[in-house]
Amino acid sequence: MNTAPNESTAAPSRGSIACVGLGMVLGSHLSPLARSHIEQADVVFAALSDGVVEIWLERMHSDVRSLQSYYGDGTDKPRITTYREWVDVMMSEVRAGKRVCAVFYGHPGVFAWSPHEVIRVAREEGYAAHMEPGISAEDCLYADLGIDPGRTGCQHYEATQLLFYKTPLNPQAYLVLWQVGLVGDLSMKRFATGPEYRQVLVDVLARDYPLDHEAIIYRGATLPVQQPRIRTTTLRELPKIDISSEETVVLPPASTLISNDEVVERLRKLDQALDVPATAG
Amino acid sequence: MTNTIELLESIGQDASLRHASAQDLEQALESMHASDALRRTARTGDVRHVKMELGGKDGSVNHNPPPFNTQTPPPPPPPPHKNEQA
Repeated sequence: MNTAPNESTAAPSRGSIACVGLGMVLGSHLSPLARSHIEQADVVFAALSDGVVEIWLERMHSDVRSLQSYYGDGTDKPRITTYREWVDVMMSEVRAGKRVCAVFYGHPGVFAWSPHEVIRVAREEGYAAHMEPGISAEDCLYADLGIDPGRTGCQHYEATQLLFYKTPLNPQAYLVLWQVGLVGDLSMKRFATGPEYRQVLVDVLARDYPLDHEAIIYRGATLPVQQPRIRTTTLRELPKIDISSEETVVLPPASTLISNDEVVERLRKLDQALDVPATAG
Repeated sequence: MTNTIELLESIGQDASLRHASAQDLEQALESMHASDALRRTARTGDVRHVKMELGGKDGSVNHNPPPFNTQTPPPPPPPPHKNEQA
């Protein structure tokens, strides 16, 4: 059995890794603890939303190594190859006894393969490994669109994955689709796909949603002088609209919640049997 | 360059500036002697102005991969085909 050693009790010469989130907005979202991980590290790796944020990070540590160059020219290298290389390069420093901090935009564990994988590998080899949460694009979306996922429920899917599998959707809940801008890219090499691919997505969604149903196209801010971009359209029009890979599509519920009378009655009887006071009103 | 990053960081940490009106933010940036590029980004919402000022290559997958592209794992492989003779 592999047991991860406690980071605080690890010997100083032993390598370790902390994956932290920088949040989405420069200057606004970085937690004090994530900043401390960055400042106390021997080596900092960075996979960030843009070069401006990377320059900001470089002001916090003298040895920031960007992971972006591993993409190559971005045309013919499968992204999974790049992600595996990220894990390898980070682990090589951990194995060399360095305190490594890997910095990702948003939350390091949300829509992110490498942070989870590097933590798994590090722990498997007996190194201390830790993830520090950050404010994610999902968090910003709730705030900017005024959505409470607890009200009707909320389902999240990576758009291509939704097409790849027969996925049951719940039209009573919000549906949030990530990476619609490159939906249908099975090659894992492209960073954008065209309207014909979005039409496939619409055809799949049309099984559960009317074509005139509202679709919200959302992009959060990354610089503090920006505001979020929120566009509304219909499901039918979605293929005709240019959607960047930074944007997220939200479908509000298409039908109302239906009371499950049988279960509610069963709960009432339980309350009566246990002498629980009835709900006021 | 340093000045723009410092200004962005201080704006990001200032509640009155982060959500200021466009007019108030414009006045604040002017009083802080912000670069033209930062003021254009604030006016238009287009990050490219600041990226250009700081030497970034706009639109480059290599340097500016869009959010979520950089971190998302591939979808799991398709299930194997059933053996028709089974």
